[in-house]
Amino acid sequence: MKWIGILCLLASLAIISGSVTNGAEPVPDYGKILQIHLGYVNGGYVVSELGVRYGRAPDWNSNTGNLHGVILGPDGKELRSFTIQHPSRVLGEIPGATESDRLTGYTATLAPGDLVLTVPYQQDMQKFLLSDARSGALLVTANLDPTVRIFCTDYPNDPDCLSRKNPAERAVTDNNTNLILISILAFSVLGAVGLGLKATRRRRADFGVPEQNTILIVDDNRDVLEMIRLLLNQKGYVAVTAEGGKECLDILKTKTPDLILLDVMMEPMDGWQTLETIKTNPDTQKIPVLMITGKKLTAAEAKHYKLCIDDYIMKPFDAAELYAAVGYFLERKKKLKETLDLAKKAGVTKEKVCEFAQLTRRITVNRKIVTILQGPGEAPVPAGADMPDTRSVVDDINNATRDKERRAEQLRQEINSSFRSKGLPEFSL
Amino acid sequence: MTKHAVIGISGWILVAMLVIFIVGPVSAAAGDNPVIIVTRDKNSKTELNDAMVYLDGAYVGSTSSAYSNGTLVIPQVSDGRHTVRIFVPGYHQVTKPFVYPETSTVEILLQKEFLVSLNPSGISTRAIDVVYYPSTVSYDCNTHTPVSTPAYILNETQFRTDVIDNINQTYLNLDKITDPSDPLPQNYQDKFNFYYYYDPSSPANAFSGCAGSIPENYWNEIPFSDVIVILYPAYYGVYADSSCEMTGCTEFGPGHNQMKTPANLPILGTHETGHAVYGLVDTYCGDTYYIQNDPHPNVWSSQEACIADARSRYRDPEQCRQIQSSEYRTSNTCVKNFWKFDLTPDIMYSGYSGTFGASSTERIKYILSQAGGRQS
Repeated sequence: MKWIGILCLLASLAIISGSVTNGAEPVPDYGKILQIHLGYVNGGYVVSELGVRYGRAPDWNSNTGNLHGVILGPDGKELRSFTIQHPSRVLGEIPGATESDRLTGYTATLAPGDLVLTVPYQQDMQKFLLSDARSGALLVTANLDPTVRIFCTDYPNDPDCLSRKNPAERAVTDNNTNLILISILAFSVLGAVGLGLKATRRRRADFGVPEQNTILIVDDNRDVLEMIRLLLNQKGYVAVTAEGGKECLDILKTKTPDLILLDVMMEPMDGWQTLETIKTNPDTQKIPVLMITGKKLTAAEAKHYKLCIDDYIMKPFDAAELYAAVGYFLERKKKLKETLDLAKKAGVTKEKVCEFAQLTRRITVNRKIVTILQGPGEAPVPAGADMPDTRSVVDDINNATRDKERRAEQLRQEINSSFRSKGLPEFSL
Repeated sequence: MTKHAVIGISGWILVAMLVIFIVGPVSAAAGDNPVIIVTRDKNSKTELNDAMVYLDGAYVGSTSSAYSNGTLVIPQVSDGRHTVRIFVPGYHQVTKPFVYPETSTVEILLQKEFLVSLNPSGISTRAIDVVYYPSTVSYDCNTHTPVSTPAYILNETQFRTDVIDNINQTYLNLDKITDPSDPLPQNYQDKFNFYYYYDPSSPANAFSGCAGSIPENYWNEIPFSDVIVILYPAYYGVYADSSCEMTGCTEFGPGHNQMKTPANLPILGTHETGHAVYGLVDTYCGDTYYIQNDPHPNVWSSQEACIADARSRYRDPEQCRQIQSSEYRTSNTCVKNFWKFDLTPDIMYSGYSGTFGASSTERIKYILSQAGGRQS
């Protein structure tokens, strides 16, 4: 009877094993392509865009050409090379005027223009080189690593992305894991195996989004939205997107991002209306909002919304500007949390520290608004018939800023005095 | 007493295992943080089963009727942004980002693909992908102008028939028009994947530019095409003489080539495939493009190179001739500094008759050797 029990156990193991491994599941397709967009500028090619996406590339085998492309790995090792005919070379078969001529032919080399090279994705690819096949002259180089990283931000569990991150992680999600666990099951304690399976299932289902700062991007231009999202993903931020003010407010009903990047020019609900709603709602008013616009701030906007604006960034901006603006907010938030911890030890109230933080931030933003209103590098706007508002708004903001500076300085001294009395270093925000 | 104890332990183990392996997955499927993926046909809105679903790049299963038609329940999705990718054969692949838990049901509408495979036994990822595209423009020999024609765009069946005829008479007829002394591999027909692209709202124009034009978004949709063939319906009027003879053309692109050919003159299509698929060079003397293709050229940039190649292959070096018009003309008005080996009737010479000679056949075999065979 003992053996019957063991046989039943083994039989059930075999059934389970079979059900796990012999299913008629389709074979997943992880084929990917690298697309290199080349622009023709001033007599030469430049890389205008790089992208990795799922798909299949042409075979490249039928071309004898004068452009030679190479994909290099991390150690400079050639992973793939190909040759292409000069783009847009045209051969036509044109009959001659008489029977004896048969073909006179037609050839043309169309003016060089933008082109897209589609190459199979190569694991560990790092660099792309394009050279003249005859002279060997290097025409174009491109670093592929950021492109792959952007792709892997969207598809972190793609097998190629997993292996880039950590070869050990791939093993966890490998299909053979179930078999291994089943083998362990046959020789170890049932409870331990149960825990192991549970852990495995969780690992597979936990799709790898660690605790990160979440930034809500609001813009009705999908291209801009996508660009900012990719840039933020590249820095490890979780980017949530909304294509308008209403969608932004809907998201805020269930989620509290660490920062909102809000476009001004949107329809039907523009950025200012959205900002006002955010800042008048007690649940959302503390979320910092970075306004983004291609249009200069007007005096009327500054007057009406100055108390709501946490920062203002002008389009077009480059990645460094975006990172600096976003990083400032998030670093400041972290610093404020640290200061509050110290303040508690020093017996300083949270309200006092927060008031100081709000004042200093307001002072910085006010200065920035004044700078924008006065125009970059220009003298202060003179009072005139055509711009009375600008002058008065600038004066108002300057007066308010001076009051805030005085109050902020008073608070700084009080807080620092308490810090010093407890032997704590001077604080800064 | 001892025996009963042993049976009891085994029984309990079995019960526990059943709980873990049967009840466990069921509870997980309906467990915490599920996301429901629903796939539908964009036009008919009917649910699609067997859609392969990838979450953040990993395959997580296929839609089925297990939960509800066309759905897949993904359990235990973490908070934050995710990307779902859906693939259904015959449909455009779709990727869609979503944020969980804000979105817990993701509906994906799939648009049918315009690409029709003509490979009943499946495709190979390494074979030469040839895609036919219908032209709504042909040529009128009475007026000597391009003329719009609805022949293909109103009749997919006619286009499909012409495509299959063209394939049979060009690509799959290769063994009959190459050098019989150097036969092609028996499986050469498996070295191609054939398709046609049929979107009546987005036709090609065979007479826009030399090799015709196709809509810009084509290459983005079908990036793997090696050769695209713009097929145009027969000329209107009398076109049997050189005053209005059908023309073909090949345009080399970045990794893929485009050619145009008439439906009713497959021999001209074969000449164009010489350019577009095999990289062969014209051997007539004219305003065409000459280059010593590599490896296995059919045209050499020097007489010495042609002779050396012929000798290395135990061929008659006397066959190396300079490309010039004197062969068929009394006045030697055209001379090129390139040499050819293949004898007439050479299809790369005529375009309207002939076969592929020894050197062309060698290059064709090389290109075919680079392509993978079709999966059975």
